[in-house]
Amino acid sequence: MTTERSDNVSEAQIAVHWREEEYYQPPAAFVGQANASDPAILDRFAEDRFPECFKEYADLLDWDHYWHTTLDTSEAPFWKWFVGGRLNACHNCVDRHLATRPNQAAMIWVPEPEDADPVAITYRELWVRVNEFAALLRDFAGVKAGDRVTFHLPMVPELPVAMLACARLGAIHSEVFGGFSGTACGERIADSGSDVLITMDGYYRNGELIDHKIKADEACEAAAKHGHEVGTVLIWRRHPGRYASDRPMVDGRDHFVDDLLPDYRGQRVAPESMPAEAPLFLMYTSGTTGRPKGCQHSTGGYLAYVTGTSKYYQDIHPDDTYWCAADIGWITGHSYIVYGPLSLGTTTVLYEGVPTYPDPGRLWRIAERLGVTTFHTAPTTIRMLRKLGPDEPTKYHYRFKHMTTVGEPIEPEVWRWYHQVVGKGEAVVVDTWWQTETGGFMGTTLPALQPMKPGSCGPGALGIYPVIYDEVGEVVEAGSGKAGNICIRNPWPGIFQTIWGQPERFKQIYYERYNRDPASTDWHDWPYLAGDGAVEAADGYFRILGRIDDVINVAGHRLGTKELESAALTVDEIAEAAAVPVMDELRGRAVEMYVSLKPGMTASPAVQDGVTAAIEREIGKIARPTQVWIVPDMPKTRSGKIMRRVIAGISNFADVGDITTLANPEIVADIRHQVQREKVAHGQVPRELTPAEAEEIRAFGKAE
Amino acid sequence: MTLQYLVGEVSWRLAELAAAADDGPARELSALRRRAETAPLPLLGPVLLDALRVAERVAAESLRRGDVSSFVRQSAASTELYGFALCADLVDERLVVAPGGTVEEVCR
Repeated sequence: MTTERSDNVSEAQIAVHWREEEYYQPPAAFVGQANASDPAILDRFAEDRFPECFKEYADLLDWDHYWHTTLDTSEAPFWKWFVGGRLNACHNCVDRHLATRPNQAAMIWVPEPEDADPVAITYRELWVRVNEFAALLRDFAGVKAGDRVTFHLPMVPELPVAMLACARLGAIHSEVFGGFSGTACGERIADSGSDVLITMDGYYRNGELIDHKIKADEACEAAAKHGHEVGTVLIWRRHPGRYASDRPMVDGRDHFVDDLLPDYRGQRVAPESMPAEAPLFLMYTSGTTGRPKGCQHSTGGYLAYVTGTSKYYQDIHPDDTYWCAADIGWITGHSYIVYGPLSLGTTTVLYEGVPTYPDPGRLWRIAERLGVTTFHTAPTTIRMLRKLGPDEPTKYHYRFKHMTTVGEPIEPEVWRWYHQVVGKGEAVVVDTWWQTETGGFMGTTLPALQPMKPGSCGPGALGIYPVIYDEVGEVVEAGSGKAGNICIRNPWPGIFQTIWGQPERFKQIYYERYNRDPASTDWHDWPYLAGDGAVEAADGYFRILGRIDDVINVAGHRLGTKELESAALTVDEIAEAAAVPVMDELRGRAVEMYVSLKPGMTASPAVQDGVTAAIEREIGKIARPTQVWIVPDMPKTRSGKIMRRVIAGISNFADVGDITTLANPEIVADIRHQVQREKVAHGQVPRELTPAEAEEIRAFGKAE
Repeated sequence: MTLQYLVGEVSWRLAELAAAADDGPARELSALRRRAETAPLPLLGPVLLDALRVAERVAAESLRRGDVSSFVRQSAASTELYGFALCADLVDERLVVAPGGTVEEVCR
């Protein structure tokens, strides 16, 4: 282990002090069979070939009509890819494989109960199922192109069947993770305006058949509270013919799919030829304002991007058995369980249950039994498997050639366990950085061409040109050791099109920060703000550090300054708020709040107590500030940004740094006098900061 | 990062905890689940901490009553939640949840 990560260091310091790791080269056997083993591919996706380079991805698809414009930037940043093209995603994932591999398993579903056999569904069987369900959706539920259909389905084959059936009709699907509450599902139903909910009566988790129908009732109720009535609820039964719930069916609304399907046996539905920019699905993420964000992904651009990245980064071949052990309820599952793998005609594995049920060897038994060649999971799962069964992989005779990590940064020592124990030292490891919004991988390594480096996701993916900006929009150079905000300078086909129903929020969150000209139609003026902090090594590999919001680490709890400040702002009297860390001998760091009042309001202990109470209520007692300072104004830049490092310096009796560029430098002395005088009077002068602590305070707020 | 799945996993586990609890704590856990599903990602840690407090309290109450089967069920759900929270780097291993559900100490 080469990192010495303490909980008391800032992200910026991690960036500086986390030592570079050595490279790992891919095995020759892997390179020899890889889809991308010729370095010329890097030239084909060089920036001077943008955007036409993405033709290579689009040409992996079948098009009903070829496009005339690769990238239309006329309504920046609402990018349109492959304009003029028409295609159907279901055709590309199912129909086109019938000629060459009708009897190959498209998917293998593994139920959680271990005494139940895996179920293989061939491409032909999938085609039949999708057609029949599409017919049911169209003729029974009245679904047509452009309609939104919400799913609240667990990890069962009926989920990809439903996705592909919607895609076949040109309807927009919106899967809500099966583990979410009915209320969360209902809010997403209302936001998307779905009239149809597709769910299941139950599913297995940790050995129990869980009642899931109850959530459908809650979802319909929650949607109704938001003014939206669900007309039709289609309920698959986990065991057809046997209802797993004791919830009553609602007359006229609820219908068992297995009762309806016999009427649609043998029916075929022609794939709807959709414009490339037609939405394919919505994927909701939780947002900071309470209203969920429905990330809208396109048909042509998205499908091209996940197909291309599945081919070159997941190195998927049709004869592979590919297992992404994620949930289809997340973007990883959409892109790299369903659309990418099926578009390439491989066999994709779905597992219903908990990775550690009934024991931590379960995943490896599945891999052995099914002959999985390619494995894909998240660092949290890897850590759990390592913790609960560090030697379990050695007991099973599977052989992976390729493994992926997704979702969060992976520590080098966990990476090494994944590589050496899970991969038996034979498999390449592809670390990936991306987001729900990006559709597919943004930072990663081409497994046969770019060596692995534990803890780093790699350089930008093909055709992706990342950059790190500091708080004023200056480029943070590679190899500088400094962290900043990772952005993507260019659009790419997999980028989400907008937030469903909230285009202004889309622009504001992802583009406003570094936009150079709001009227510009030149993509160079619209860097995409990912919202993650990162550092770029001299070799161009990125190490992702986490969200860019500043955090204060109180007794191991990473409290976001934005959340603390948002809580303070719920108090009527408060106009502005800033949270800063102070050194605390017991908890490492504690929170101090600085607030200024709205005009006409008077400072009082009641206001201070109100701020404390609001933070406890909104976040929890762990976040209780040790002080709430009511100040006449905040130190600010000329653009109005609160300089947190200045007030953090005051609270810690440390250097406040350069204040000459402030719009109101005189306020610094006033605040210092007010705060430090009171601390001195109450014996709260902190000890002298260590150099590392002083650096942390100086760096505080730089993520802003 | 595609961290949304952590929200889902937390939501799932809080539902399991709620199912193992009596009515009052179950309502608290349902409210925490709601917070997990709607709050920004950085708040998942504090939500988990609150949930662990409730779980500890619930299990301690079952033990006090001599309700062994409830205690075992609740402890198992709580242990799973804690293990997940550690592996997801959402809480710190140094946190100690004291009997009765108070979280006051940090082991060093």
